[in-house]
Amino acid sequence: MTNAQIFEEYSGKLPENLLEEIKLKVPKRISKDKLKKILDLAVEEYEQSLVEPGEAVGLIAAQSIGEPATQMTLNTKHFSGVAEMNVTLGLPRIIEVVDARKTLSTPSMNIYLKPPYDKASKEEVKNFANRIKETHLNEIATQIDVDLADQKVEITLDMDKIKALELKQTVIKKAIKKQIRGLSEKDIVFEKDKIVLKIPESLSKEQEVDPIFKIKEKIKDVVVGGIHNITQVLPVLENGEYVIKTAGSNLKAVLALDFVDPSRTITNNIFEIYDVLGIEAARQAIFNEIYSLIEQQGLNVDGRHIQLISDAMCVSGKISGITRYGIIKSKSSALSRAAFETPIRHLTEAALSGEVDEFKSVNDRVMVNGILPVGTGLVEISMDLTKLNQGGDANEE
Amino acid sequence: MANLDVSKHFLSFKHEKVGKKELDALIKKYDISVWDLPKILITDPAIKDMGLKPGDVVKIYRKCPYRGPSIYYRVVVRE
Repeated sequence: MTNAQIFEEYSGKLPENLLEEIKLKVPKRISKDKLKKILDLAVEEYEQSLVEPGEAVGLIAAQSIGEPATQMTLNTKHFSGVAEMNVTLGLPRIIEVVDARKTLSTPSMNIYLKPPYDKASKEEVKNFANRIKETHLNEIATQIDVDLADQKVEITLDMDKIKALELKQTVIKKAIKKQIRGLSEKDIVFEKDKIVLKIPESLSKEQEVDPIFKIKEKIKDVVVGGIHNITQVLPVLENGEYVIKTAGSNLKAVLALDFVDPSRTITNNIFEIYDVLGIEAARQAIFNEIYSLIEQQGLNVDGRHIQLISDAMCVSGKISGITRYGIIKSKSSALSRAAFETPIRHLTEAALSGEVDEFKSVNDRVMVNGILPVGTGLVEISMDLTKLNQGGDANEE
Repeated sequence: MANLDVSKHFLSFKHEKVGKKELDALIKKYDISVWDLPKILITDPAIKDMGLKPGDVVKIYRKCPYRGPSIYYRVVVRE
């Protein structure tokens, strides 16, 4: 039997990372007996360090994260890279993740470019970045004129910019038609570097204020290109390649772009990850997010506590935050739910629907001074009643 | 766009359907019913093309920073 075979034999007993570590640390020409001895000792140590059945792991996780969290800075804003973009960090961000908030205070993305674009120059990357950014009409226009006599709005366009953004006339036309009510296709005419909007008469008679002025204001905010929701872009050089950092997030649309690397591009919006990549990816994202936040603050929390939390948030197949609407709601015991937040509401609801509480959870038992179902309290003795009756006079159990 | 390969993303893990034999062994080992397992929606992007039905169990090959490669099970549910 070779040493490799011995390792193979132990692969079920030890986690693979540990085995790899032992493999690296053991001298190459170790005798089989010694190797076996080392591995046996490792197995013994490993088994002793496992969490015991009945250990209140959730409580330990809560304390282990809660204690350092009290020391975290309440300073929420951090300016990453050049001082143009800010991201929520620290405790407020942890709360955001753990509560599974759907709207974030600072949604952002890190967009990586796919080869060969990853070697692109700064100028090229800037170009890509501008194509991602949501573009409003007033950004590509140099001048907007109103012609009252002919009831026309004339928009003079910056053709260089349009070329750089690779915008097409038809796309702009569609965008205007969609976002401004009352204009039909024939009212929008392109003339060289101008768009001329003819205001239909039906519109002008409706209101007291000349609608032409309203349209002039509205037209500025028409989104003609880029990706919806992405309001700011900033290319940053990281490890020898440009990463586009954004304010605002839209994972699905960004992944679909042809120059984006769909395997590394990431958002800080967990729900978008869930929608696009699924529950397992979302769980991993929650873990990564909390772990890096705690690490950034220079605190030391074992990742296994965070794994437990992220697993708990994802058991139902959907993301549920640690709130009374999330995982607390799925608790079967009404008293446990009442013990968390808004007790009166939970109790009245439970009473109205006639819920039964079996006093099986830790919270319930604490309330009635019972034995907690934790550690040794988890074990119960069960009796085989049929055998008891065979004895004859077992009136009472 | 329609055919975005979800599994290529670095946050995604391999999902695989668990065969009958393996499932029986799992259920027996932990003395549970399939419905006690963590759940995954049938509409989940990671499994929606696998043609699974509710009650099937998927095996997820996670990469854990502590254990190395590790395995997680989820039962497919409808909503």
